[in-house]
Amino acid sequence: MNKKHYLTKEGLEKFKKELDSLLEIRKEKMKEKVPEVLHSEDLNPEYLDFREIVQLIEKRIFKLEEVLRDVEIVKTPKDKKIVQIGAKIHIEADNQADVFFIVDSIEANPSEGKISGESLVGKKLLGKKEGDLVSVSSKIATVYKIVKIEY
Amino acid sequence: MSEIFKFISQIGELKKNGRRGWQIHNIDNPETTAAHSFQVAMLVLTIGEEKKDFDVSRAIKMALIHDISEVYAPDLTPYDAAALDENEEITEEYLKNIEPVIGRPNTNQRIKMQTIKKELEHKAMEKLMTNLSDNLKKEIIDLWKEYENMITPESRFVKQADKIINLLQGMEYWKNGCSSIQYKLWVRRAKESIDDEHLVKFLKNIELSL
Repeated sequence: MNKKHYLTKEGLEKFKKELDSLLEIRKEKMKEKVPEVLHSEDLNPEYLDFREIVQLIEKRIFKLEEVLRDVEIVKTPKDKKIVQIGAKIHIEADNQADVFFIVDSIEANPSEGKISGESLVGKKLLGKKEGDLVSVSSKIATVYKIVKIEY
Repeated sequence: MSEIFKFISQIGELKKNGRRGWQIHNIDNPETTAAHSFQVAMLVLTIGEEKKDFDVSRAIKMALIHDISEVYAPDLTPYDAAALDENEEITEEYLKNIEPVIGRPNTNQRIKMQTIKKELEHKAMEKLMTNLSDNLKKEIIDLWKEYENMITPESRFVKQADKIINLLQGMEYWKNGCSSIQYKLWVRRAKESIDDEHLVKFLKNIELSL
């Protein structure tokens, strides 16, 4: 069974744009003249290249359609005081303030502050409230203070 | 063939480029960009084979090309992001004059850095691909864009593999006496960034080795 994904509106737009772009590329590719299969007695390298590109496009379209088939846009929860997917959280850790957006794994991008709900830290933050101290324990423990939660 | 010869000769520069993050820590004979890319590709190869429904060979190609823009683009680090003035417009010119800060950038600084970095790397990729055939240029640029876009499972995995190898190298330098590497901060950042189940286990191994 496919996993359900919870995307932000922005995340969903990004996936849809990618799918649209691939569908357009497929359409253009289908207009091209398919190279001959055989070049004398051997498989034509141009045909193999063409086939590889088409297969790659089809595979990516298939995967994207699979994701988009079972996607829900993250909604503002009834309880806005708890960290859930879609939350913007202000934290303090090791005397430093920062802001995270907790997102589905397929939308995660730590360089943009989008932390996956399935990362070690993301998992610990989910379900917590403003004011909570969240310890991510292991050999090197870090304590995150949740200063504010926004949706 | 002469176009491929030129391209491969240019790529060879990455065997000489010591990664800038290590230079900021004053590490002698720092790991090069080429060495880093090799190790990322090997991690992708070994763990990639265990993953279901995963195009290992595409991921390996991505790992091999993920930093080639550094032939022409600056090797910008989180330390450069940490030095950014959030109220300034970040341009190529502005970046030439900042002094990196050994510390952790906040999200706003990261986002600003990502924007300019993508722009500079895209320009560099176009310059690097100038002499290649249209098909080869398209293949490499597509791989690079896929890696940057992080939409496919392969690209997300390679992005995380890149961070893991960076952490692994950083911890080796720290264990060998580079005390300016804030190892706890590095491990913390990895725990925020890694969610692939295989790489989380690998991360735990790194932590246990410290």
